[in-house]
Amino acid sequence: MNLYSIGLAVSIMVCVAAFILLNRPRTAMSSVLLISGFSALGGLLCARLVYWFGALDFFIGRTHNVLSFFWWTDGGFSLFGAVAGAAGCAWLACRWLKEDKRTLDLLALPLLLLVAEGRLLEWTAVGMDFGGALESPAWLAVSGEYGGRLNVALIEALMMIAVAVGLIIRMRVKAKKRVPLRDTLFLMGLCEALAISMRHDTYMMWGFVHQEQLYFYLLSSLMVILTGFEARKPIAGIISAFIAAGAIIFLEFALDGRIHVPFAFMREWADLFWYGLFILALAAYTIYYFSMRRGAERKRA
Amino acid sequence: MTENRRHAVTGILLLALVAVLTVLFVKSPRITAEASMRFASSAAETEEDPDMAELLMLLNGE
Repeated sequence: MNLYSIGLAVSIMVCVAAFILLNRPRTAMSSVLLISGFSALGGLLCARLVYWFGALDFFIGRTHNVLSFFWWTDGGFSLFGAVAGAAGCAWLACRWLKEDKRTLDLLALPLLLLVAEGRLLEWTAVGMDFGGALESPAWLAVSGEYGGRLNVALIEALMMIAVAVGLIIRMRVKAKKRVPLRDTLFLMGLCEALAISMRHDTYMMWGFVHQEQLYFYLLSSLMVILTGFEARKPIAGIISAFIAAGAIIFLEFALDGRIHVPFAFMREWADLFWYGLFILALAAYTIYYFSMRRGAERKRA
Repeated sequence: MTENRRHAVTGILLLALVAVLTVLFVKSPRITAEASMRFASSAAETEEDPDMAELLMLLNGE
């Protein structure tokens, strides 16, 4: 047994329990159990599928065996796959059972919990999810045989907690009973796109881009495009997704040192400068998304 | 069997399947971390990432 496996099992159990407990007062227990079952199985299989697909050169290149997908103990799982699989399968189950779409919203907090737990597990059990060299502040650095490193896993977990708190506050302010799954997936995708760009490990990479960063960005954009259709502004939604993609690609090139900062005196603080721009770009995208969301709600009303 | 009961039984069976798959994984004697590191090392070789190359040298005790 190893910490990663035990953590994985505990994470799934905690999320299923959270989903069932959150659901209990409203939806029939039979539907809740069925949606949980589909969601958990879909999440697990998609998590493996995304990891396996992302590491084809490892699995197929070295083993020459398609069945390596089922060799659960070789390699690992992708958290993006877990989120997408769980949300997708829960959506299908809700449609099949003709459940109210709002039942899906109860998946929001368990998914944030899953990502927070999973990221922490990546560092503590597998030794992945670290950034550049950093010795202080001590709480943000992790030390290993290779010196101090930025603890990106902790940053990602804190971001997920911040998203959960922010959305719960918004729910209370708006006197709603649910945290919307769409808003959660949008914010989760953007936070992950930002945090993963800080990573220096080589887990699931294509060139100098982490695959999960790309997938999480696409998840956010899917939410923007869906909202655009609901607000009857489909072209605006699609164009904004392309503009955001262009900005993120530019910033990734810049952070990789391929584009120089505009002013010489800023060279020493280049990373801070680019990350500042990254945060501003994502903030603008978030404001645009929520304004479109309000438009969609008005249209629905 | 009523439809509700059928749904509940299917849901419980699916959750049991997830539990079995996870237990198979948990019971495994092979360490996932090692496999992930192997993948990391192969990626580092192709990328020639100096950070990762240094890390791998340290991990390999060189």
